[in-house]
Amino acid sequence: MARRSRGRGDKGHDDGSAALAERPPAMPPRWDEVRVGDAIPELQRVVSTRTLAQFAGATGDFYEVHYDLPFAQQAGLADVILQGYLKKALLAEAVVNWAGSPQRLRRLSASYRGVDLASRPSSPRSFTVRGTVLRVWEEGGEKLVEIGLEGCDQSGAVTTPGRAVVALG
Amino acid sequence: MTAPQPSVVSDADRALVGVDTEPGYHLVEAGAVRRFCEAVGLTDPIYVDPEAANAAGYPERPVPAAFWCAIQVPGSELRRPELGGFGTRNMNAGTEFEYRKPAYVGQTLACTARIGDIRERAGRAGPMVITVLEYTWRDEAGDVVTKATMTGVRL
Repeated sequence: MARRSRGRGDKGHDDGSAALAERPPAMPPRWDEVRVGDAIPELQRVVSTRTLAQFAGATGDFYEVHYDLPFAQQAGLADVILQGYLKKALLAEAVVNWAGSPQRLRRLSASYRGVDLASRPSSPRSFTVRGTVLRVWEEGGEKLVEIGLEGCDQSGAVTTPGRAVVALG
Repeated sequence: MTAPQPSVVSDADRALVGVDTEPGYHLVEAGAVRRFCEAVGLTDPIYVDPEAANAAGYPERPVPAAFWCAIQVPGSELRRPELGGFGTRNMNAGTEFEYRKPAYVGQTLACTARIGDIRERAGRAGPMVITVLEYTWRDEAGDVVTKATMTGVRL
């Protein structure tokens, strides 16, 4: 499967913040031009252990499985894993990048089906979000679009499926 | 095949379902939003720079769409079911946010929490208990801003 390198920062320098994607243009799509089956731009991130620690601090979720390697190994994991909410935040970002504003979101759900391991310099991994338009309709005076989301691990397996509903006017 | 298990959800546990906590108040603090953006890699200045927010047509810095996971208050007041000491592992199976009204940095939001549902299921690895938590944030006018639903599995 084709894997774009967009979202990677400086090569060989994996400190998490280097993985920040350039933000695509925030031009909102026209609702009457959106079709079922359209894809939204893919979002790809390399999530380092540093990012996991930052996210733990930002959310107050200090479950050791996200930063303590022996703890994670004792739980049967090969490495520390991404927080479910971090993955959800990346799903949200993919949708917001497409919709042009966080305030166009009406609904966002995510299921945590599989674990995603942190990226290490010795074994770089990416987390990729893809989205496809499932439904286009009007309700309550709003022009709505439902997007099926897939958060995928390095191998392309969907670990974090989700759905979003966006109002485009 | 696992043998039928007696219910681990007591009447006292079931009585917790549907009962709202007292509201807890939470100031959407600029520094907390900035740290969240840095952690997630959100680079849009509208979340952290009032001028950039204004230039993009917002009256104030909007709250990032996924920020709600960073402000789960009040947690301590929500009595969790004891489930008779059942299970050794807790898993977060899924979450849903429902956005009703825009929220901005600087607002003080009132949050109530409740247990929406408790159910038992026979899973592949044995019995499990599914608990649905519901959080509702309201703004100063009393309008619902965001609702969040979290589905936890204990096994």
